[in-house]
Amino acid sequence: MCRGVISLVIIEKHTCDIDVIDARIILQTLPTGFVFILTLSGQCDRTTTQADALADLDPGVFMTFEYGGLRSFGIAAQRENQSANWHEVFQSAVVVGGWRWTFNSAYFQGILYRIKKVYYILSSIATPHDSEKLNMSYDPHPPKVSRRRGSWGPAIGVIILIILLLTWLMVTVVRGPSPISYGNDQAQSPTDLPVHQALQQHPVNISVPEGPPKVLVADPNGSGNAIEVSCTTCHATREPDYKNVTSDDLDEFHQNLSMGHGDLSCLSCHNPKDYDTLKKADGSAVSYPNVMQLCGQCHQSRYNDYLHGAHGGMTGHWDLSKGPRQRKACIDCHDPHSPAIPKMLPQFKPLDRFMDTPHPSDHQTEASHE
Amino acid sequence: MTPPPEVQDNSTVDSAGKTVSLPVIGQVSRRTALKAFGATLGIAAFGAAAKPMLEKYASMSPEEMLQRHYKELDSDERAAVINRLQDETKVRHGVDVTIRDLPPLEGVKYGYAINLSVCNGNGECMRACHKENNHDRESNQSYIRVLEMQRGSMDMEKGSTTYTHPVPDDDKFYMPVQCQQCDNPPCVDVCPVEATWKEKDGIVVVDYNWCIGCRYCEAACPYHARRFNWKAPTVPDDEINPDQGYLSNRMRPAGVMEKCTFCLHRVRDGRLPACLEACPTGARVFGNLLDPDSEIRWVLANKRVFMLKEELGTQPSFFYYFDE
Repeated sequence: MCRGVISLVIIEKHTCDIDVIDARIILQTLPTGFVFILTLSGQCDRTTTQADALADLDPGVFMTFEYGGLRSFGIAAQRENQSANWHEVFQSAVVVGGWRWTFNSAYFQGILYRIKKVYYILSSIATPHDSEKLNMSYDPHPPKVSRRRGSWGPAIGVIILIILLLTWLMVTVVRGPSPISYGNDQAQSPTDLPVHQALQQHPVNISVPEGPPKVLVADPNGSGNAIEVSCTTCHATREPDYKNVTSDDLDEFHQNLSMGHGDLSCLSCHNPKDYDTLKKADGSAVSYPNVMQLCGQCHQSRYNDYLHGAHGGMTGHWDLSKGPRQRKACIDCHDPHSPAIPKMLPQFKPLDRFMDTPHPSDHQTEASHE
Repeated sequence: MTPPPEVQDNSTVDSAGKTVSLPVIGQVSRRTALKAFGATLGIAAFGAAAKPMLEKYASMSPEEMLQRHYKELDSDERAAVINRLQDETKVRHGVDVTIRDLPPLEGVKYGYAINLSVCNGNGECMRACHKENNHDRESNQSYIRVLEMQRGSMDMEKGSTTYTHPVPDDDKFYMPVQCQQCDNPPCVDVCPVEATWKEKDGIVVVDYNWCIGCRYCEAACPYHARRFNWKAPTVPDDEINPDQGYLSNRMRPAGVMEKCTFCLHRVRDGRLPACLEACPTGARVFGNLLDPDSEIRWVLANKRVFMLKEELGTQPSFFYYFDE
């Protein structure tokens, strides 16, 4: 890479969000070499982030400056001031008669900003070309325009000096751009340390469905025991009817069952040879507790996800050397007759100011046009 | 016109025969009185404005005031700090809590992934986070935001958190966003006092006793993942989670930042984060990125994975994936 060219890009943008893409387009027009980006963005909260991100993206860019930290905070604070919470916490007021004077931290940020400004004005007075003003007697009406015009000179001069100094340091000392950092210096790369070996001392306990199911056929009898029968109690005496697909096709029993599992019919999964077991696609029986084998023969990719922990969730320990883990079976979450997860109603909502209305800025714009 | 001041009682006659005023209250001119009134008002106003700050420091013990940065404390000092915090919780809430300071596990870097094909936006993760981390009950604070996103869009800034209809909406998908535990964290870079840093296992933590509450990190985070305590979180005493960590879910004071720590007090003990255990759809996967046999590594190797705002170069340890 040619290292002879040094470019300075000054981005002055008073609206929020310097677009990384915009800046990259600018960069493409520059010769390869050192590029300094100086962003002057007093109203942007995220200048630092985006400028740093830009520096990471392009190896030719290795230094960014941003101006506006204090000022941008003040403006952010003023924006926050519109919320109700703000007043309770950081705002105080003095009330005398009908006269009210309120303070909040945005006010103090404003004072600090003014102090900074006064410093610039004073420093401009002290510069040689304004030296005659030092001998001047008190003037109740100072020429404000000329002072303001001179007030930015020293600041910009200092920034340029710093840039030149850092350039010299980078060229003479470092000899080349700093490599792109893929992490904090404390972060590990995969080769730094031995991998934490899970010793598998503790088991992964998968929930085992009960089964075969029992059907409640009558209210509790005189001794208080429910009268439950197994599937075969009835089905042993009845011929299987392969034409029954949904509960609507049935003349009696199971008629409240809602069936919504693709094109499957009852006997796709229930075993007509032994109703206390289930049936795989090849006709072989599988017991109710092993129902996941039945699900897995069609939903193989999901079953594979499950075996690798990428489906179905878990509780307990991620580190099996420290404790066991519990996992659910398919039918703990999915109703086998209607396996789609039903719609849920969100129960918990943070009272968060973030994105209270989807596009508040859009609404404001519309209101101002009206 | 103002009548001339009364001079008979408060004046005397000197040797030259002139009348001399005595410095008594009745002689104060209107200008001086206004100045004095203005000055008093100004001092009172300043005092009132500074009151929140004064109250904050008035309630602070000398030990708390003089406590050094977490990284500068040796093990004895840390134990003393933790004892003090446990005692404070006992006094303020009447609850016996255990604050632990678990060190990072060797050879572990945590990674988290969420299956967006499965997540239906029910928000139980937010509720679990709320309870586990002793969040403010009044604001329903949580480290997680579940964004309802238009299908076909990946712009999280256009997501909505305020949906209340039954989920999932057919037109939408749902994306929970919490701290991405970046390897190149902008929030850490901007902290003026180094109150937040990245631990060896990849978790970005905050020392609540060192944070000055400037909120720079909140502004710097492109994922809007940091939260500010506008006041000390109010948690009913019987709902306080007694299993606490110094760097995670201990009771926070007002005016400090906080953030998701992957439930540091749980995961450094080998347990899973609370949000993962609570997810009713099983959309969340957690594990050790350095272990090639871990669940998270299988997801990264076998699924269609993306990182949120990857173009910013923040290098998240947090991933999103789809089944198909």
